[in-house]
Amino acid sequence: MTRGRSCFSGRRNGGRSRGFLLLCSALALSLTVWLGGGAVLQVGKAWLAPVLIKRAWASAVDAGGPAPPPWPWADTRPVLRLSVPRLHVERYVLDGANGRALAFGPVLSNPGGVHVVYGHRDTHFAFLESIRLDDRLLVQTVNGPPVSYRVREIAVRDEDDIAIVSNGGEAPLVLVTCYPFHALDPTGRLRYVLLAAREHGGPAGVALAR
Amino acid sequence: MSIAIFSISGAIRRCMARPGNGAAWQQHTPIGLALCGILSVVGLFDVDAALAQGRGQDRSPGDMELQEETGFGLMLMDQSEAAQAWQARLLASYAAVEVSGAVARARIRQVFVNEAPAEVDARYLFPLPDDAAVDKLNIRFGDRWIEGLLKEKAEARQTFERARAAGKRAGLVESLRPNIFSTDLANIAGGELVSVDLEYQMTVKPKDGVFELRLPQVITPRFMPQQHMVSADIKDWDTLMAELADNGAVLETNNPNAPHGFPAAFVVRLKAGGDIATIESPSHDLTVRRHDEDAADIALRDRYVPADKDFVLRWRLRETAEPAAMLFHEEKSGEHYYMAVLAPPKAATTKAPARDVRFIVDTSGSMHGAALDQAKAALASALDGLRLEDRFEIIQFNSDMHSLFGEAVPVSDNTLRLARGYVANLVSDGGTNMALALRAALPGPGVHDSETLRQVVFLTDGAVSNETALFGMTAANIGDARLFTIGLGPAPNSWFMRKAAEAGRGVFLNIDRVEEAGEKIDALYRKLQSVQLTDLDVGVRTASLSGGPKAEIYPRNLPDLYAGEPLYFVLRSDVEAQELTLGGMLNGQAWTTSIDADGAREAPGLARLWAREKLEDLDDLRRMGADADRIRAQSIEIALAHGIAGRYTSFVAVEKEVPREPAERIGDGQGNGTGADKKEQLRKASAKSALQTLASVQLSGPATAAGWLRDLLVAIAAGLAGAFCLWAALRRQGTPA
Repeated sequence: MTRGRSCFSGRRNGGRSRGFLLLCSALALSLTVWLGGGAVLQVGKAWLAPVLIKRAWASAVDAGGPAPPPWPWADTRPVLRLSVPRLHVERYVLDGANGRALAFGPVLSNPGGVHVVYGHRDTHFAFLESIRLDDRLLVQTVNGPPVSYRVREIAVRDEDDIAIVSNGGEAPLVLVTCYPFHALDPTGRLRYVLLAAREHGGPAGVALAR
Repeated sequence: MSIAIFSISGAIRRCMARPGNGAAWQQHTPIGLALCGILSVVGLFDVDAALAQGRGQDRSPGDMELQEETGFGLMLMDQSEAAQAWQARLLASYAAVEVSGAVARARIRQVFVNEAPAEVDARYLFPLPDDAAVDKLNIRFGDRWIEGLLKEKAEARQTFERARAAGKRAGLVESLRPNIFSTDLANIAGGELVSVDLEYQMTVKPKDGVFELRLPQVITPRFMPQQHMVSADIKDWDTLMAELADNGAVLETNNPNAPHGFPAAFVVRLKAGGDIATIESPSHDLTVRRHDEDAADIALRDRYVPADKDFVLRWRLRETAEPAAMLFHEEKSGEHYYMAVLAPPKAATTKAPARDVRFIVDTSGSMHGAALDQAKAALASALDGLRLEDRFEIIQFNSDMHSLFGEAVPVSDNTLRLARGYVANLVSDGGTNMALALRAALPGPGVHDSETLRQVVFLTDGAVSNETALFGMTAANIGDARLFTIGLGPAPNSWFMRKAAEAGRGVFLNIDRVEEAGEKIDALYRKLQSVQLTDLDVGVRTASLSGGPKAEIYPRNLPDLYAGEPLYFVLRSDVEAQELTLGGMLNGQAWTTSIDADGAREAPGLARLWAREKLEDLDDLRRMGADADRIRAQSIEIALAHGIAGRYTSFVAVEKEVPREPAERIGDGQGNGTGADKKEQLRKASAKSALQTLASVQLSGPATAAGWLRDLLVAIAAGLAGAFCLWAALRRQGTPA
């Protein structure tokens, strides 16, 4: 009797736990599809979009006007080409400092004429980690010649703690990305700030405020 | 051309934990410009004379070059298009400081003239020393003085804006950063003179026996040439000091030696509190008049120089056998404030105790490249510096932790050889799991070992985001060990490393270039080997018998005292002290001393220095995660009680009534020429001078991490778990019940 009962209960338990396992499995796998799909989408966007963006840029250079939207429904367009000759890195900087544009490429924000470029540390701006002091950066608008900048300062700052002072001259170029570069948590408060000054005609003094 | 303060407001702030932080920076956009400034100090500087000189002469091309060098500037934020035609001009600069031992009080006067024919608003930035406690503001518009009042920052800004809208003359001095301030001026009449007087208190702490006073003139760091001349005497010192003394400090604008444009002058009255051995400046040529063994007056040799670099003055006291203590006192609102600077005697005769050195080296992916090379070079020099009686261990960490020996081992040829090989083969890869390594190297709570001195030398770029947890862990496990942090790579997280070293009662040093690793490590070793006073504790002894005094001391953790470094602290006590007792270990032996509080020198303004330290401490607490609103409220209370401008408080000055005749004040009292002529002269003069703008950009930008890696890892983990569940379910199904 005892045996039979245990058999019975075992079968019932087995059925219940099997259902439970199947449910868990379904939940876990849908989480995989959701998050994994999201991650793949993010990375896919980050590396596929520049192909279209580059094409839009090239067509604008040929046509001699502002770049068209890289794809018909895009709400952004490339405005600058940023390159680092030493690292053979080239990035197209997009217009519009919003999260949508940031997924496709670094974005430019230049109130008052200071060029601040934001990029994701785990996609387009991952290369910032390899930049050294005194590296040369080239910045080019669609119709302009490349303008040369030199990296003057690199610092890690709290997001509330970033201020740049300059005593006139041409506006500096500031590249900003999240920090630490390889942290899993994307919501950190630290920023990696790279300050570059015009190689010619730059301000006599430009610095990150301490 | 000119840039104002503005913010890149977070259009996208997805990863910002606290939205809205940038709001305070979001004003000011339009900037006209024009104007000039005279930075002056001391007494009633004859600005009319300076102005007359400034506008009466045509500028030579040389002036423009000088002006392009300066980093001090003024921008106008004018309404009118016409103001665009006017340019900034800095006429002169003048600063006076009185140093008393380790306390300095500086008075600066900034005098501006509105060269435009219309009313303008102006804004400019200026640098102050890092620990300046600004406690006084007076502004003179034309011939009337307005006293600045300290208010909560937003309230001060409101008061100022209301006054501006009402057409009243007003001024606002805000702290943008601890060392950068801004002044806003509203409704300056055409041709009107404006003087902005600021006073601040600061400390002068000796390092390796050298006191250094730095008056920043430019915000950006500049290259400084080698040693400058110190001439034996001042030719016309008496004239200068007399001028300073009786408010008659007339800037001799006709002095042929004075550079036109914006001469700067600095004068320092030094009461060193001990016999002065040397006085020098790495930045400027000086003239020095020694009054006494311990006192001197110092001025620039040329009296006026372009204000294009920081003024730095250094002096050294004669060394004494006994630790010399300087004690300062101020009583304010029934509270007693003390500041002590205690210099250790040079090189102890007793041998330093044997050490147990644990090196922790960060070999995470972020260290790749220059940082790891610096780490290797630093470790190699560090190993060379070990002594035979020492013990050591090397721990590396990335995602995981690995220790070379598993415990501290004696220094021998064999262990050193192993260690050198280990260091040479370090490779950087993976994550940053700092906590494991720190925990392994730190002795643990309450562990005390009187035989050896446990030193943990931590080499990292500080690429961590769980800073607060690490500070807590360090403080809890430090025992009697000391933590020294060495910052590597192009941009070490220096705040983290400085605070970690403070939590571990050690020091932080930064290695910028691989070539200087050896030199820096040697310097650190000299420190490590010369550790003298440890476990310091300050007590207050009072005359009263009832209960102990309540004392609040900063810095919170008193650091160890190494040869060359002074002990510095500020203390507030609710009762007057008879003496301050200092207890600790001197080279391993129990040591106590006391400083007679009767001998304390009275130092007005000391309470403000204490408040400044307290505010800094509060700010650290905020960054370590304390409740921001509570910190804010406390900070405002302290700042208002002590009357100092800072993160949450500003000075605002508003005239009581709207002036009857707002414009046409050019050449007031001079009586030569008509207003129109003068305006024309001014226009000509200023058109030739260079514009000086000093812009500050406060960034608070969007999220800059896509975060796909975390999503991907979670997805993979979930996938594995799902697959396992599925497998288990299928297996169960296949098994007959």
